[in-house]
Amino acid sequence: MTVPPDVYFTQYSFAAKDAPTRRTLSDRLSDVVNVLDWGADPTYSSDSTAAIRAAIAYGASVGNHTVYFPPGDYLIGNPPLSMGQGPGTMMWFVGAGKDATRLRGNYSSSTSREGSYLVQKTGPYDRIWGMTVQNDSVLPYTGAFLDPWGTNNLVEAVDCRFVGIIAYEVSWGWITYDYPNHWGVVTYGHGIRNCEFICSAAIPRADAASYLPPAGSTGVGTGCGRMSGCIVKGFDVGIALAGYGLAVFGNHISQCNVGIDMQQDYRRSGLSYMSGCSVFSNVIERCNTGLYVRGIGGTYAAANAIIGNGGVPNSAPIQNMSWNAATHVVTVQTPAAHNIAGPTATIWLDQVNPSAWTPDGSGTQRVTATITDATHFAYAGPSAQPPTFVSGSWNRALTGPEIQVRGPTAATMRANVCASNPTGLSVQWDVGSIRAFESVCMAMQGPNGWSPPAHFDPNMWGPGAGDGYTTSTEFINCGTTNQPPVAWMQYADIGRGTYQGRSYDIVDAQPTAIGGIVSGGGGNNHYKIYFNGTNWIRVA
Amino acid sequence: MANPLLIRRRLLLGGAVGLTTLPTQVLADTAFTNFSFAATGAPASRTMPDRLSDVINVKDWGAIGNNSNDDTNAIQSAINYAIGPRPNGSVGGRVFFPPGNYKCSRGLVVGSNSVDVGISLIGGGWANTFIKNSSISKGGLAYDCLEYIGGTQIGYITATRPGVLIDHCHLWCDLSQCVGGCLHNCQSDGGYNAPNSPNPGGDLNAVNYWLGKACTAIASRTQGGGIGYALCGDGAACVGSSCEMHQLAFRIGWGPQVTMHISQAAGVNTNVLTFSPAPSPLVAVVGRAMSAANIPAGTKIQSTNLGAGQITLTNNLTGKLAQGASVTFDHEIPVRGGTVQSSQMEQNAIGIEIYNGEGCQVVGNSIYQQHGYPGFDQMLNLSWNAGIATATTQDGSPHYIPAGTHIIQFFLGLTNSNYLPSQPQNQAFYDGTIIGGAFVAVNSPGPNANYFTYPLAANPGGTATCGWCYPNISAIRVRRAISCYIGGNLLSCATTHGAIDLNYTGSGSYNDLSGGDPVVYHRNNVFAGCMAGAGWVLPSNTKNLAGWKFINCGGWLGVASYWGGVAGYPATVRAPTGQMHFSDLPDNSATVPQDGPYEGQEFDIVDGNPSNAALGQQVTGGGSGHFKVRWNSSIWTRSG
Repeated sequence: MTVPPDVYFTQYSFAAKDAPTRRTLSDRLSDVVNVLDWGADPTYSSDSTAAIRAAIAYGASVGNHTVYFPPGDYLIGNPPLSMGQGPGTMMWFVGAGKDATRLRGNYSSSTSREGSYLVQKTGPYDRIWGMTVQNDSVLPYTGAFLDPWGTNNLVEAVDCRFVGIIAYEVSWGWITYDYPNHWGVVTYGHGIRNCEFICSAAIPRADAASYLPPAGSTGVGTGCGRMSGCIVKGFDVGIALAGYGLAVFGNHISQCNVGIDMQQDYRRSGLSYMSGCSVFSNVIERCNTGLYVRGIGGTYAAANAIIGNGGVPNSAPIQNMSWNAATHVVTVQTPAAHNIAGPTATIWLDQVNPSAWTPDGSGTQRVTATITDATHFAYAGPSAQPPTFVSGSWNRALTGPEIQVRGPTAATMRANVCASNPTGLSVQWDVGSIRAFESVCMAMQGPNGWSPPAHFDPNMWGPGAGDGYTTSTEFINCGTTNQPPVAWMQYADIGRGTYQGRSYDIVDAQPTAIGGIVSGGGGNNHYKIYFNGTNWIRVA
Repeated sequence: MANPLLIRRRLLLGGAVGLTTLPTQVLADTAFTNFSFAATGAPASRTMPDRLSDVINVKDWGAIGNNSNDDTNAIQSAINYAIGPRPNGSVGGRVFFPPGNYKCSRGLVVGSNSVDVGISLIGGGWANTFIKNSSISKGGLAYDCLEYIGGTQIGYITATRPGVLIDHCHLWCDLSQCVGGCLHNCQSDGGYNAPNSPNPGGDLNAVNYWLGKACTAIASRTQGGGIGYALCGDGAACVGSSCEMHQLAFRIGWGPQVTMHISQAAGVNTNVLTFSPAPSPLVAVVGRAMSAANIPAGTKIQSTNLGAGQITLTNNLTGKLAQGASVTFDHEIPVRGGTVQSSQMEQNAIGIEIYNGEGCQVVGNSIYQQHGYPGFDQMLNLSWNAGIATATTQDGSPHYIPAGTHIIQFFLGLTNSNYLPSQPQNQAFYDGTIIGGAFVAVNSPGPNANYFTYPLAANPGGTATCGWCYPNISAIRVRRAISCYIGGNLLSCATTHGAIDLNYTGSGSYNDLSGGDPVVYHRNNVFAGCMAGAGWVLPSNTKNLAGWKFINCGGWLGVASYWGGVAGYPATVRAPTGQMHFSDLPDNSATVPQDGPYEGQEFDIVDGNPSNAALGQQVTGGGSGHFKVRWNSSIWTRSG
């Protein structure tokens, strides 16, 4: 019997079941480029950057752009890792899930604004799916993932976790601030869904020593496209938005200084960098300020729930409470340092049991505490001896305002809920300079108070009255009970709204009868006035 | 003769067969499982078993997927391996279900007590990968490990892992206790002729998709059942989704029922209940109604002290509940920041309901009744009893009408108008053509029966083809709304109770319009851009009416017989404005929560006095002046 010559296994071709074409297993295995085949180390003990780069380069060379990362921790020791091979290519990074596949490193070569990002994409059609990208650096302007400014289209991040001081940056959103000649964030069709964005510094709780996260830390700085189903935790700014055509909805943002920053800063650019956007049904929890609307055009923010301490986990436990019969002061002992900067701070007592230990007997109350030492603080308690203390916890009270508005443009704000119960106002309008026009704000309550738009400041814009945009926001069914943001306007606030049929409520009219012409301010009459095409007429 | 290629393979790779037949060649070989080789172009060699564990394939764990083998244990083993920790300490991974019909005998547990880790389940498309007779949950373990599932059909998923993504699946899904979960391109066929439905009859427990805090349903679709989408957490949103043939398509402020057991040793001697373990914040929500034997109706959660496992109720329950007593909390959950947007509804009894919402928006939706694909039932046979003038239908397939007498609507496809109880007023116009469209009270033995009866004056004879659905009660209705916005919705449906019902006082069941539940509370709301053909039902408590601002809202005065309601049903208001009396205006009384009065606030009233008041003059009630009135910070003055 003659033994036929061998076929080496790697050259042995065979067909898939019922399929006509024979292929070798080696060829089949390169259908998806697997980083382990290129020597990546899934145990985090040696640097995988070169291996992953080689895998990407090979994929690009043969037109195969799906790179699979099996479960494991991959050390990115020589960052940045670029996803694609430059413009014109595309790349899919596929992991085995955000707990299974992790790309990690500590990258901080540049702490200037260009920053250091562990992974960045370079092609226009890239996708990253099912993995964690984590930069352990806690220095400013370092981050996990960068989608750089340029020709970026149709990028998608799905089921990923990004950990960094700046977890995910699209197009260097800060360009919007500093370089007005750049038209902000330009990515088209960018999609982010069901991702997590975690601050790589210790996630501060509302009761932590560094109450504010590292300044400048940002969960997501993003532009066009869609962001939904995401979880954002522990940043200075949770989601910083700029760009055109963006839907941000169904996200959960917690423990940030500002939840969502709708960020056009017109003081520098004079241009609206955010338009055609919708921001809705986001839950913003335990953030100092929920929505910061710095200037939006053709955009709406609706049905966002800004909620506070109530029912929130991670509040700090109370170990012991004692009551002084002479002063009626309750002294609280915390099992660890309480981190209240002192000498006094407003804190929120949570679920104190029995409830009699809170001054109002509610079991949940905001009080002003005086710091006695690292593990004790005290507050004015009930007038009678409370029953035996069982359990309780406390949080630092949020300071708010829950919604800050600084000049909406052709925008709608509606049906947003303020339920943080901050120590400050619920809604603060016109923070700083003002340029608002033709906007609508409706169906919004400010249970903790509402500061109305400021009056027109003729020195802020151009030559003076007549060029004002100030109060062209119409408020419909808004306001704190019996304290709505209407009827604050002065005659001088009427800017460009001089067309027939426009009406305003003003508070400084000179006296005239119904139907008479209202020609100026300086009086003290509250009138509803109507522009008949020529004059402002008193109608009520 | 043996295949020479196979022989060559054996020669090189070795193994038992090669060893016995060709020993000299094989001795130098490596066993196949230890044979490592490189992928084309790649430098690193790995063995095939190592490669095959990069993605965990349920067939490698013994699942067969032939619709007869019980694959439960095999799939569960693969899932447990993916969760880990594995022998090398690693955790997490992807489990692949090649196309197949994986028959199971119990639910799959995707959970862990030891590692809080997410795994992904990947099918071959939900039309191809079917995990039959099964469900997914964490099964009472500490951590829910389901992070992602895509391209799979399965019965029911209960998911609580934050940010879970359910992608292109066919299933029922409970995300009520989840934060940030998403249903993306999913489908669910509910009660309508669906034997796998958790409740094929369709009631308010038969919810296709529960959506908890910051959970979203995007581009998803449900057909048939009690509620299509129940939004039960803050920031729940439905976008671009579809919902057909439900009692309620979208309901905001409605969560799953929960039952807990009293743990206080001495029983309840106050209005405070104590539970151990403590309920979660998502379960113990202020406003939830409670039901138990001996408990006064309308008892609700007043406050919670979850740290102590306590719930304070609105009623004193002294002596009514003992330790261990079972207490059921009903579905109501106030939802803040809910959204139903750019979604489509057909053939539902109720389109969108704000049962209990704060800061919710309902925008840009289409609520149709008769267009599109109807829920056809073939009436294969009609028998008629002259004595009681009743026809009995013989359905071609099981219908899903609940037991009892129900008004349903026949539409489309009747071949003989005698099948309708009377003519011609029960015919409806549709695009200029007379079709068989009629609301008919039918008597059904229950869902999945194959017949029902209804009255007919004459013997229709023969066989008919028809379709039927729940009658459209209201397109949009509201029970409790604070700071809500409803705008830009298209309503195209003949309703039996007004297109817009702002006075829903029912206890929760979709067709209970009895006014039994007085919790109607409207404040700081806006309704914009709405044409309600069948009219408006306004709040009977008119302080609630003052909680709405209507902008360009009205009725349709065109083809009234179709768009404007149906003969014999309650007359409704064609426009929501111009109805108010002076006593309806906000008056800052402490007894009724209300919005205002505040300076600049304006309303239209129909009983202004004096009836000839000039502009700017004070107006009171009791006259006949149809005025616009404005609060000037101390009195109401005429402003129009």
